[in-house]
Amino acid sequence: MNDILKLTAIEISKKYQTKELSCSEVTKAFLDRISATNTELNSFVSISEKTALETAKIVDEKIAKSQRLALLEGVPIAIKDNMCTSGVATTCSSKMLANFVPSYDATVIEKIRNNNMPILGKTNMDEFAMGSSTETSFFGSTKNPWNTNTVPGGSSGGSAVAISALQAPLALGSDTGGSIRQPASFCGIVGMKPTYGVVSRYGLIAFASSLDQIGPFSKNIDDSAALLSVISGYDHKDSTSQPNIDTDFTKISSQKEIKIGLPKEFFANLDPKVKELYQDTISILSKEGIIFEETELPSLEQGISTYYIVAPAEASSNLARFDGVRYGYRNQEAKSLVDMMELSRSEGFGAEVKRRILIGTYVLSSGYYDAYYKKAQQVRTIMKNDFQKAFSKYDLLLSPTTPTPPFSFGEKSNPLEMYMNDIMTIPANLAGIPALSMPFGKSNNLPMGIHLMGNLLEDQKLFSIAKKIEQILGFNIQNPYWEK
Amino acid sequence: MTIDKKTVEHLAKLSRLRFSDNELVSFTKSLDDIFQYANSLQKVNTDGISPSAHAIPLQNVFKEDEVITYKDIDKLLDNCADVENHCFKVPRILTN
Repeated sequence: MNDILKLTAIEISKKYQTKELSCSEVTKAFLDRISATNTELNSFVSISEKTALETAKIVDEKIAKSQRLALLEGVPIAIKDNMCTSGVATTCSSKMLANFVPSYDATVIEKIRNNNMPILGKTNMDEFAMGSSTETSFFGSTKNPWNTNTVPGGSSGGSAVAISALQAPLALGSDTGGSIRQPASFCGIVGMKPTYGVVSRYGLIAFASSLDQIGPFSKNIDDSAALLSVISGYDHKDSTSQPNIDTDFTKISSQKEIKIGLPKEFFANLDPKVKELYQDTISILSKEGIIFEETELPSLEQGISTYYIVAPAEASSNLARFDGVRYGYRNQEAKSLVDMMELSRSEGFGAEVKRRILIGTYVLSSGYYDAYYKKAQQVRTIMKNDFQKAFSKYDLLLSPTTPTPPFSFGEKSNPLEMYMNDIMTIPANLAGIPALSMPFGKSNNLPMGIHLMGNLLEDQKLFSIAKKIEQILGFNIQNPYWEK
Repeated sequence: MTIDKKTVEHLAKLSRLRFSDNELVSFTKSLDDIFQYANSLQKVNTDGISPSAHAIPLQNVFKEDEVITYKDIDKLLDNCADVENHCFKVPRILTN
């Protein structure tokens, strides 16, 4: 296997500056790796070799002229297939959008292109980002490189696998209830959901607008912070994006005393194996001087209930636009407009998407709005308050990323059981706070992630403490697939 | 509160979806499971708590009402299944 593939994004950047590597060489290495492994892993739904190599050529010309490269300039990247790429199919892994070619770039894509980062391709996902295993994709499920009988997590499963199987040094995902952090945990890599509004959502195909956030996948914390620095910033095309933020997340701050809260509400749901590893990790970190304290955030117990009302409500409204009229799948046999809409939606959407539309329609319908939607929004307020209280005492909150180790294909056929997987990750989306998953151990040779949550707009502090934890734990992200 | 088949039929109509009998049965069961679980919310005392539609307080944004011409109309129309004279063409709207 080509050693280039093992490099981190920052290491690749350095080797450009010293002219040890060319961007074309690096891009080609990852493209070759994708073509050798994608048939088995199914992590990419499309590969953009030609444009990637064209971008690489621009970077190589700059390197030849000894021009200074910007942060991560020339480092190849994989993109989850729910971010609009002009001229390149953007499918949300749905039959509904299988032939949809956007005429514009999402803001994050514009930033990636302006930074001359070769886009290797678009990655597989749960249909419309609804799922925790990448099993709901119209294009078939993605395999976990640690064990190909195991799910990679979801919904951004393809992006997580791209990093973990060395198909890309960096990838973008989106996270509505854990869709970056949970697959990062299952694939033994770093995945981060920034504070809501740090990254523009313009051109991200909407699932639940008040929860969706784009974020980075990488081999380590430094790469994650660097990629967030490239993609973040206020965007006039997304009025929910944060104005006046410092977008340099690479500045590592050090503080004398680090105090971390451990939410008690999460302990009850842990698999024994996860619990054991979690407690061991806390004792290792305690020995290094990090202070841990058990704490209570009672509203966390309502996370799943709140989320599975708020997110489907927003989804049912966002997905109403898919009616077969202007774009997306259309049934050609229908004789009337209403028939056409009903048949196009029924044939174009998969079962999980339909389920969420039904849930959302129910909680927004008259008679149930107050009992469910309004109630869930009130509990959301309580949860935000619980977090604010916790962050007045603690720098971060810590838990495992998932209650169980990665599971097998078809293991969670009951939807509610699948939803339970997101119990630790959902609250960060409801409260808008930054959170990340980083690898901390293995169970039966499958990786597991530890989950850190920070206060609103304290993304940089989150990275700084995560980096310290990364150094202490020294997890080796190499998996058996690296030898293939 | 339990979800029955009739409710799901009504929701399908509201969401412009059509289901086979088997699908109706399956969605009824899963929705019922989900709402049985979500009913735990009713235990939370929310008296006097204002609802949050967003995680972070947002302010209305006003912009000048300027016309920006969109140049790629043909590319937009390329995504439509049926186009005629630069218009989206659909089956008849009024039926007997």
